[in-house]
Amino acid sequence: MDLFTAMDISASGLRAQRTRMNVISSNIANARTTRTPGGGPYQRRDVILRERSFEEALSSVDVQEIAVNTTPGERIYDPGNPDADGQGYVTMPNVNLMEEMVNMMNASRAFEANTLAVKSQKDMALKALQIGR
Amino acid sequence: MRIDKPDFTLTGPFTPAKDKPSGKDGNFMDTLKEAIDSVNHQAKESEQMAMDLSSGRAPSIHEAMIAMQKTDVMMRLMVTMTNKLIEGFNELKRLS
Repeated sequence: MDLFTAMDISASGLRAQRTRMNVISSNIANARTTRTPGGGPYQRRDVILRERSFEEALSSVDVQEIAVNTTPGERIYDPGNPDADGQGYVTMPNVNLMEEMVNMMNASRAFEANTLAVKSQKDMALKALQIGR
Repeated sequence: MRIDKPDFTLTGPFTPAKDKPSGKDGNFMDTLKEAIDSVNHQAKESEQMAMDLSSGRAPSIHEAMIAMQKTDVMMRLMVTMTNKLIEGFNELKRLS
């Protein structure tokens, strides 16, 4: 519980939100990707966060894993597409752009909240230094 | 919402400082030296991070920024302590 514990915890939060942002970027970039090394369309990823005990009763956050969401994607009729099946349907990635946008706003606000926590931690430390001035 | 009583006791900040073994024989100069060394170490770390960041090797911006903020606070703390020390010394000088 030293001076910078809160900063280290906030740093872990920032790291987690940055990972979420990276994954969301990957989902958005691959919203129309129908070919992957494993075959089939791109499948959206989710970041699973996990608590990690930090010190005494405090805990920071950790990225547990980047989980692949396997719900089947939308099938659209496009017989000219080389990835179309026998009936002319192409399976698109299961990425919903609107959902990703909401997640993105969520991640960016959460990042902002963590930066604010860092800032106010620093302000508190500086205020403490002003005692006795 | 239920709030459990925390199952730890706050110790750190409330123990008197004189119990802490600092330096070789609790010498004030050693304590100060130790403090300055730790500030120096932190400053070096944040400098390294800034270098990494500008050369594109740093893992993240926020970690570099937080390291710099830590250095800033520690540096200010050190300067405040040194100023107080010098103030006390001047006070002693004026005794004669």
